[in-house]
Amino acid sequence: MPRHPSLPLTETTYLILLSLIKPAHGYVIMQEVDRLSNNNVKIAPGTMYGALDNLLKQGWIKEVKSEDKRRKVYQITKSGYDVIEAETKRMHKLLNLAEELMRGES
Amino acid sequence: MKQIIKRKVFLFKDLDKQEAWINSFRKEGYRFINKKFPACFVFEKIDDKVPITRIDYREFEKSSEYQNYIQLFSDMGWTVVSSRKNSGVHYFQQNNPNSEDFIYSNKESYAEIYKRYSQQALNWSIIFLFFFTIFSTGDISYSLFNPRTAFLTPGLWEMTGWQFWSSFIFEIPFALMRLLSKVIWLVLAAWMGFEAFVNKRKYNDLIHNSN
Repeated sequence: MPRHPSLPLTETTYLILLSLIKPAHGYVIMQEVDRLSNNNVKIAPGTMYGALDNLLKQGWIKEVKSEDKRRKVYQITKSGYDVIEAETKRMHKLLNLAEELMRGES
Repeated sequence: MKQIIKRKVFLFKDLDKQEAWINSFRKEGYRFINKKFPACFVFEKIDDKVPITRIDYREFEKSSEYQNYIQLFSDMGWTVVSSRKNSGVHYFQQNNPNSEDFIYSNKESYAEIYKRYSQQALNWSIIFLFFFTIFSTGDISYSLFNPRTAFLTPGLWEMTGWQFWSSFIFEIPFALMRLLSKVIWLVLAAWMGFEAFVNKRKYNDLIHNSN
C-alpha cells in the first residue's frame, strides 16, 4: 500500500487532529494537546491560528455550527481522519520494527 | 496617566526590530498602548511591571474570522493592544507581566509572518505598477522619458532670451507636478517590490536556520 503523501505529520498537527475527533474551538484544542502530550506540547496562539487555517485549507478539518458567536468550532473531516489513521499505522510499524530489533540486540 | 508619543520609522516594516524597540521601554516603565499612522507609537508610564508586546501579521477577509482570531489570542492570555481588521499588523500584550512568552511556539510558524507580509507587499507592488501603466499611456501628451513634453506653454521651446526663461521658470512647478504624479506610482511599486524581496529573504533565512 502506498504511503499517504502527507506523512509523516508534525507532532503538533497529529495532536491537533486527534483532539478534533470531538468538536472544539482553539482554546480547548490547546488544552487538549497539552493534556495529550503530558504538558510537553504547548501551542501558542499565532501558531494555533495558522495551524487551524492550514488544516481547513487542506480539508482535514471543517468548521461546525456552534452557539458561540465569537469562537469558531472545528471538527475533523473524513479525509483528516484517514490521515491520522495512516499516520498511526505508519508509527505502529516503526515501533514494532524498533522493538524487534532492540530485543534482538540485547 | 502620563502618555508619551515616540516616533520611529521602520522602513521595511521590520516587525522583529519594531517588537524589540517597543519592548526596550519596558525597563523604564513605559507600556505600549497604541500605534498611530504614521510612525507614531503611544506609550503610557505605569508603576507596575510592563507586560511584553508581540507583533503578528495577518490579513482577514471576513469580520467573523478577525473576531475569531482576536478571541483566540484573548482566550490564551493575550490582550489586543492595537489592531484593526485590515491593519495587517496586530499588536498583542501578554496578560502576565512576568512572562516573556512568544505568540509562536515554533520557528516554522513564526517564519510564516514574513512570507505573508512579502506576499502582500508583492500584491501592492503589482497594483502600483498597474496604476503607473494606466497613467503613463493613453491621452496624455507628456512623457516621463521626455521631460520637455511636460511643459505645455504653446511655443515655449521656440522662444528665446528673457521671454523663454520667464515662461520656462514659471512653468517648472507645474511640469514637475505633472511628472511626479506619474513617477510616484513607479516609486511606490519599486518600494513595495523591495519590501517583498527583503521579507521573503527573511523568511528563507528563518526556515533555513530552523534545523
